This record gives sequence, structure tokens and C-alpha cells, in this order.
Amino acid sequence: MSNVCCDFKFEQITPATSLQEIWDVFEPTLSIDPASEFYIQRTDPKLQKLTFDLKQTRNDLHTFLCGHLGSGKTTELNRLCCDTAIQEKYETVFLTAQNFGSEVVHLTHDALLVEICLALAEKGKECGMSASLTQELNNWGREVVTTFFHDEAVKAEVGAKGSVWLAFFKAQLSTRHEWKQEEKLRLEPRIQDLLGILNRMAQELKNTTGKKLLVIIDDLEKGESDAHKEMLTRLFQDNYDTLTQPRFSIIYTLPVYFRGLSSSRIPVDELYAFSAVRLYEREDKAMNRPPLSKDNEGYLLLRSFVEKRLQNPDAFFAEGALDELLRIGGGLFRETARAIHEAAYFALLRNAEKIELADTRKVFDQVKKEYQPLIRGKAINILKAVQASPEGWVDGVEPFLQSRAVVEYENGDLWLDLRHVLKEYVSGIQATP
Amino acid sequence: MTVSDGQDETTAIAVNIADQVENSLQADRPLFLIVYYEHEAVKVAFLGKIRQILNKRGVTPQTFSSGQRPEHGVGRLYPLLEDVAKNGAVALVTDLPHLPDSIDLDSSFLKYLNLHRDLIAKHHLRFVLFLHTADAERFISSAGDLWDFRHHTYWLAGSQETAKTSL
Repeated sequence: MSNVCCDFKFEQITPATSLQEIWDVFEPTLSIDPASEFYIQRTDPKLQKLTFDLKQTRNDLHTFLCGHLGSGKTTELNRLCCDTAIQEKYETVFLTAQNFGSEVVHLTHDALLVEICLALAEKGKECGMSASLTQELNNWGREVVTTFFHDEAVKAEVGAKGSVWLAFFKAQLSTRHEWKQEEKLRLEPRIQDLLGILNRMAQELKNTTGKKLLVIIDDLEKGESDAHKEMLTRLFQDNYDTLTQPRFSIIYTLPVYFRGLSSSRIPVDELYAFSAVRLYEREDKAMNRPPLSKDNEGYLLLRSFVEKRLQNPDAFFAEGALDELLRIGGGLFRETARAIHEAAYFALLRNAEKIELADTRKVFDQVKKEYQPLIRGKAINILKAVQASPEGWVDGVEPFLQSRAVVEYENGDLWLDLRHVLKEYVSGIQATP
Repeated sequence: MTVSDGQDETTAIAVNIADQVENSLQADRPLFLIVYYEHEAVKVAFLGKIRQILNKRGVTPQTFSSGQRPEHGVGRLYPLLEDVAKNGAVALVTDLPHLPDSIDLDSSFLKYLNLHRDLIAKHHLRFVLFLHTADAERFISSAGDLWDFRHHTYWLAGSQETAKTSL
């Protein structure tokens, strides 16, 4: 478990004074401390509402945060953790799916609840919670594993030690899809028992700390394979009811395409989604190079994202170069950081002191070339259709949203557009049969 | 970061990578570079070149072959990369495992790489991953989150014959 607020070491940066330092401060994996001067205050209505709801509500909120990879979800979750009012009201437990084991695609609703239970037990140790609830969890695990494992040696091993059941429980997840309906029905009452343990843990933590409990589960949206999609469907379509039963607040992260799913079981008021930062008008999306809306909040936000990391922004970009890099970034923070990192790299190769339009052109070509392996066969027609239609929502677009070949924007309505670097290329090629 | 006149393109890439390695070491930042190749011989020649340049600069690269050696495979590679980072070096990951009797990359290894990509930033891992161009789509689709962490991509040009001459 990693509690981002307490354990994560954010990188220290200072505003860049040279191209070399620009290359450094726009390193795309850099995590920015949300309490630092470099954090950019987002104004997305849904994000503001999530913070407001968490602060104001007397109920337990079960919420779903969705957005593009690299759009700032984790940064915003970190910010929530560091918010003084949230800290005063909630004891926060931050989980990442990366720590759930190497086969996260086999995750089931009960396994996710077990992960939360384990995290609460760990938190409980820090807060002086009695060990009896951890013992209850171990008893539950042993019972479930011995019920569904038929190997006597396994049963003996599981019965012998406290938490040995967990390894067998996780190992067994990969074969769950082979279960018969009868076995699934046998598991159901045990899940209610697990929810009972979870709720008792939350209550005891509340009694000990005097605060409500907020569990954040990040990185569930990561992964683009069919197995990941199946996992997300299994969790949030088939078992939505179970995952919203715990009597404490939970934030789950979801991939960007979830809010466009017509069949989604998640009510709109529980879905807190934010799009990429919009840099131009939807009316101009058919153009290969739409004009930037320079008075628009989105454009100003992204400029400030860049300028805050520079000592003297005007000194490092030739006229129009920064705008071109913002276009290449497509309104996504990590992609914008990468574009500037790359542009600084190309300028340094020339022994230059400033990023020129020629450098931005190299970044454009570089990013386009990186995406080209994805643009073959059926993909060409899908991407052409995205660009041709005003809204851009076409069948089969989900993988391209995940890879950010296509980006979602919002101004009133949600609409999709092809990344700037791909527009001319896609419109110029013919689909192969 | 400079490319001298007269350098062939492959040497220029090797020099650029060495520059990036030095910069990331000086700035204590992670580095994840992708190098695409089409011919095995071109890759082998390039590996010789990059090792030579890095050695001259006092950086000893370590080579891992996840495709050929299970001890560099699932569950093993990231700890190895962490050791390399601790020693102030750079790793060259020369290939990825394929499924038995198949041209497809092993998806379990890609999942492993993808799932733990945050270790790159956390432990300031520095590595160069060599990918065959035919594997690009599969890599991007199956390990998209890792791909998102790339710092730069290079494409090795050249035929097998050129590589042999170079060797």
C-alpha cells in the first residue's frame, strides 16, 4: 500500500533557467507535489464538485473518477489527500492497483474488497485498532479458500497459519472464470460476511481516529487489453451494487471511455469525469490545424502549467513555438510535458539556446511516427470517422482514447478529436481492406 | 548533446543515447528510451557501438535479455534495473520474450512491465529497450501505460549488409 500523501516522495524542482534545465523539469514521469507552486489549480466543474461533495456530505460517497492517462487524475487525488478540510474530516487510505499482484486483470469484486480490508487492517495497526477484526478477516479467508479448494494438502496448509490463505485466494482468482453458477452462488453470502468485516473495521477506525474513512483506489483504469476491459466490466457493471455497499467513502478510478458507455450502470451523479484541457473550438475540429482559443481558460491553464516551471518563459521559445508544443500535447499534461522535453532535446542537439519552430516540427514528426504502428487496417476508418463527425463518438474508438491517439474534450457537450499530430496523416491515407 | 558532422546516423543515435544517459545521471532522473530495429544484425552492431561509447564516458552498461534468459523475465527484470540504477549505470534490454513457437510477444511479460512502470519514476530506473518494429503495435497496445513513460524513441535504419560491414 502506498499512501501518497505520507509515503510518496515528490521530486523537487526549481524553475528552469536553461534549455538543459527545461529538458529536466519537463521529464514526463515527474510527479508534482500538489502543495507546491508548480501545481496547476484545475477548474473542471466535476473536479470542483467532487471536492465540494466530499467536504460537505454527511453520507458515504461512492464515486468514480475517470479521465485520460496522463490527464492529472493521480495529481488530483494527491491534491485531495493533501486538502486540509479533507484531512480534518477523513482518515484517507490510498491504494494503487499496482500493488494488488501481477495479475490484476483477474481482480474480482470480492478480491477488491479483500484488498481494501487488508489496507484497513494495516491502517488499524497504526491507529491502535484491536487485532480481533484482522483475525476475523483471516478466518473469513481460510473459510473461503478451504471451501473452494479441494486439495487436502492446501486445506491443511491454509488452516495452519494466519494469513497463508491470501496467497491461495489470489492464485485462485485466475480460474474464477471457469466457475460454475453454483460456485458463484455459494460465494455470494461470504461476500456479505466480508462487507460486514469491512464495515466493522471502518467503524472502529472512525471510533479510534474520530474521522470518517475515505478509501481511494487508483490505477484501476490502467491497461488496455481485452482482459482489462473484462475486469472493469466484471467489477463496475456486474458487481457495481457490491462495490458501493461499504459504509465509508470510496473513490475508484476508471478509464476515460467509461463515461461514454451507454450501457454503464454507474449513475451520472456518481461519475466525476474530466476531459483533456480544451485548446480550440469544436467547430474547428475538422481543420488539420485548428486556431487556438487564446482567451480561453484551457489555453491559459496549459500556458501557466509550462510557464510556472520556467524562470523566464519568453527567453526559451521562438515566436509560436510554445503554442505549437501545446497543440502537440493535445491538452494533456503528460503529453505536453513530453513535447517540451523533446523540443528541448532537439534544441540542445543543435547547441541552441532557444526552442525554434524547427524543433517543434521534429517533435511533431517524432510523436506522429510513434503512433503510426497503431494506424493500420480498421483503425484508419475509425480515426477518419472520429475526425469527420462533430462529436467523434464512433464504434471502436475506446482503444484510441486509451492510447491518446484520440482525445476527449468538453465544452457543454463531450466531443472527441484526433490528436493534432495525426490529423494530416490520417486524412491522407487510404484504409486497407 | 551534439552530433558531429560526418557521423553516420546510427553512430549519431548512439551518441545521443549516451548524452541522454549522462544527462539523466547528472540530474538524477529516470530514463526510458525505446530503440526500434528491423534487422537483428543492425541491432547487434548498434549494441557494440553504444557499449563502446558509454564505456569511453565511464558508464558501464549492463545487458539484459528478457527474451533469451528467464532470469531477466517476469518478476526479475525490475529488481535488476533497480540494481543498475543504484550503481549509477544504464541497462540495455536487448529483447522481449515471445510466446513459444509464435511471433507474438509474451503478454504476461508485457503485463508485468506495464503494471510496475511506476518503479521507473520511483527508483529512477535508466534503461534502453530494443524492440523489433513488427512488435511495436503489440507493445503499445499491451503495455500502453509503460509506453506513456518513454522519454524518446529512436529508429535504427540500415540493412543487414550495412551492419555486417560495420561489424
